[in-house]
Amino acid sequence: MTVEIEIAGAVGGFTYDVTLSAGDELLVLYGHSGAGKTVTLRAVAGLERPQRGRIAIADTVVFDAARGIALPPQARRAGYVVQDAALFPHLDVRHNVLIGVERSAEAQRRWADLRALLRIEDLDDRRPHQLSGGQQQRVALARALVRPTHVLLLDEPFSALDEALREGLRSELVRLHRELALPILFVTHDLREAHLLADRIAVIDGGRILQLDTRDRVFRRPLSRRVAELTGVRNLWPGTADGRDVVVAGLPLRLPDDSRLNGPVDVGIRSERCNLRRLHPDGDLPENCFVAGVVEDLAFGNTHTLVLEPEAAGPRVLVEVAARPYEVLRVADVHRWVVELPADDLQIMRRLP
Amino acid sequence: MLRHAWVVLPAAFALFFIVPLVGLLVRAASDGDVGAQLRAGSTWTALRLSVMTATFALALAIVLGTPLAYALASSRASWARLAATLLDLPLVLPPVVSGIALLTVFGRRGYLGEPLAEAGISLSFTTAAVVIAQLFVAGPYYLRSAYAGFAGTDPRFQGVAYTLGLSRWTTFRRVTLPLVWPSLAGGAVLCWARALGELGATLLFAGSLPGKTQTMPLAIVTAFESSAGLAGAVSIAVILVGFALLLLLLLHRYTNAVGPYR
Amino acid sequence: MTPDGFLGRMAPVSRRSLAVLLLPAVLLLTACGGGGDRESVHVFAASSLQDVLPVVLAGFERGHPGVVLSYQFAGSQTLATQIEEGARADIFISANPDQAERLLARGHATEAATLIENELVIAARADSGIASLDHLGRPGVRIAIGAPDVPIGQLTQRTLELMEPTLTAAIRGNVVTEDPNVRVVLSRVELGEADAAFVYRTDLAAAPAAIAIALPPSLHVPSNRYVIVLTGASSTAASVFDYLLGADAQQAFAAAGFIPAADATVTAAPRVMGSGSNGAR
Repeated sequence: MTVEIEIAGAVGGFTYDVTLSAGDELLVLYGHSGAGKTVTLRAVAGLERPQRGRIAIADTVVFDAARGIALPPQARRAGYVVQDAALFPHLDVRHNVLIGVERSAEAQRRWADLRALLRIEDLDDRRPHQLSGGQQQRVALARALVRPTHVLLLDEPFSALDEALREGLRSELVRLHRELALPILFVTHDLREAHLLADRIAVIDGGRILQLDTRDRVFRRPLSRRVAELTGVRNLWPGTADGRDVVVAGLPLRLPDDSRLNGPVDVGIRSERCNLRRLHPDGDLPENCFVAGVVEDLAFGNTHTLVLEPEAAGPRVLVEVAARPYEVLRVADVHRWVVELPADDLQIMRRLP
Repeated sequence: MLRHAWVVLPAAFALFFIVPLVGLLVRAASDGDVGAQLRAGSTWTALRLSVMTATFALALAIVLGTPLAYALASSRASWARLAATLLDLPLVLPPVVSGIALLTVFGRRGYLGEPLAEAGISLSFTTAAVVIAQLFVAGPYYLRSAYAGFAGTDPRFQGVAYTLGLSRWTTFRRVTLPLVWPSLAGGAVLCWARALGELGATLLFAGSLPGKTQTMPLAIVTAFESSAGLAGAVSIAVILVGFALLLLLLLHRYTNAVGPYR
Repeated sequence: MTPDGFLGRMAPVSRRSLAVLLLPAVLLLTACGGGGDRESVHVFAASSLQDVLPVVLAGFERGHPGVVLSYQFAGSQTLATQIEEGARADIFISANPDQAERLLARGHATEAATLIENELVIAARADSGIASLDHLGRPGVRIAIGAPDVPIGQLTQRTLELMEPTLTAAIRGNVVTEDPNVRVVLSRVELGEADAAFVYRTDLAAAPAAIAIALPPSLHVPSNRYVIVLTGASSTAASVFDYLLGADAQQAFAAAGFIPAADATVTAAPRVMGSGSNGAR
């Protein structure tokens, strides 16, 4: 099954213009709060009416502004799970899940399956306030899935939970996804969550999709400086490119083999991808290396972030070092280092005006 | 001990309401003759009329007020908020003024009353007028409470219910209504109690005729102005208060039993 | 007191009295107690005297510049109760002898006398087509009267009993409301909800929309007597008492439509009140 979205509109003062489509995959809509993620899900669910565009779920057009089609939420077969589950507080688990489909044998059968699949067997008579956050989310998932569903919309379903619960639910979601074979649009502002779950990621910002690609390509080959920023790239510098070469702060660097950009560019590298090497006073510097001195050393539990200033040509750079190599290399005692920016890890993006 | 010293003020406030009621009871026991009033057919006639009209007014408030409160609370339009504010205004009016206001519409020379009178229908001085007066004065209590209830429910519950395939009506019945039930029940009790005590608007709009329009409050005021005086008025008042207490206790048990949460 | 006790002094609806309606006026604060050497006299009076009494007592005030009069108007029953409850009153004018007798009997008053008498009339709207007593028996006429137990209602009932039985029955059949006091009764005619009402002649002064139809002398019931009661101990209070029973005041009352004490149907003092209190102190 597929979902195709091509919508534009305004809510309050916020405008959005979103185009994306998904097959039987887990597509993560990743962006900061207020980026337009929730409005997109609400539009698919039929709770928000865009001014323009078209939405098709499983080849059925559920919304088409030009043709005046706007099916009500009840007719869209979109399962929608919101942030804190929104279980009906006055109904027990069983009635929450089966509300409106109590007499459907099919729903009863699915409920039996889902109880086992989501491990909520013994909760039938509990009220929502008697459930843990994780249980509430599972019940909400079951509630969306006991009825015929063609797309599953999950709006930050795990954000209110603690990390241990999230881990469990994420793996369950991945398992569920394999069994269901339907598109899942998963909204999150949590980078780690996006990375863990996604088949593909749509990076959304200011009401627009900046990049929609496989997870690895979004993380390794961001299309723009903004995508790089949003996906946690902490070293971003302006530069001038010429095919496979680029100059950053007077320092010539080699780029990945497939680089083809010329002129003004942004060059980025994730701080954990930078290497530190011991300085050998007599040796020549290898490709993509420069000498720099540590000016700051920030400890974050099992990682350290070092800030290094170049001694000659080269950019100011943030380097993340895991605790173990930090100790082995005795980083704390050494001031001067050779910083290597490996060509394959450099990201190059056309500079936008 | 000192930890609970703050309780003194709230407790004093509670007594502020309770002691005058007890005083009324003591007064009735010493000066009045509650027994004689209980034996008097006129008291029961007035009580029956009061309960009947107040209950009917409440029924109208619920049947007509619930959809109105729901519509106003659901609307995002600014006029809806303005309308909700306007509907609070009858709460401000002294009831006698409400009575005059009702006469300008439903009276013999009123905007609606005059055409109705020509058609042979007269509202003033009828039991229907009692209900209208009570509805006008007490209805806003229900409306206000229901509006606050509907406006206060998380709209996501509705949205989720729609995506689950529940129709608007089913959603209203099985999701929204149980959620606002406490507000509706509270508003209903307020409305009914206020209707039961309604005097000014009823007197002006409906008149005061035993068995037809003379409710308990009117009987009390009439007794007060008669030779029965204060003692007579207090005796009837005690019966009204006692009966209202009984009904409210029953209602309380009932609302707890049927409650919002099945 | 009930919060709606102000109905006792509800005035007919006119521009002036609508303002009165809006006052939450159970307990008018008679707080203008004046300072220093000025002496105040608190006058409690039946609400039907609200318009006339200050006019009558203006003469007294001219003669006694050091005296400040303050008024509280309400139903006689209400006022008598307030006096019994300890409200400070120097003079109390009741619309019927019962309250006065009660105050005397319980020691709240020292002296009492018949002050003036009022007369029951029919108030009718000019546009209602009602011009005589007989018209009240017509089918469809809407009549407002006082409740049988309140003073105006008692008087009305006794008057009705003197009429021809068929007319009495017809009028009773046309009664649409039995109101707690005369102001409310009169308001029915003013608001046009009733065609006619039985009220005191003097009340009609405040109701320009209504006309008065006098009852034949044969129906005159000698009961509507205002009794003045001395409840204060000061000599000033006593001089107000005497002034009201004197010739100037009685003339002023007569000008307002009241029957002076001298011409009243019953000239004798109320039963319990001893004799000779008719101004001859």
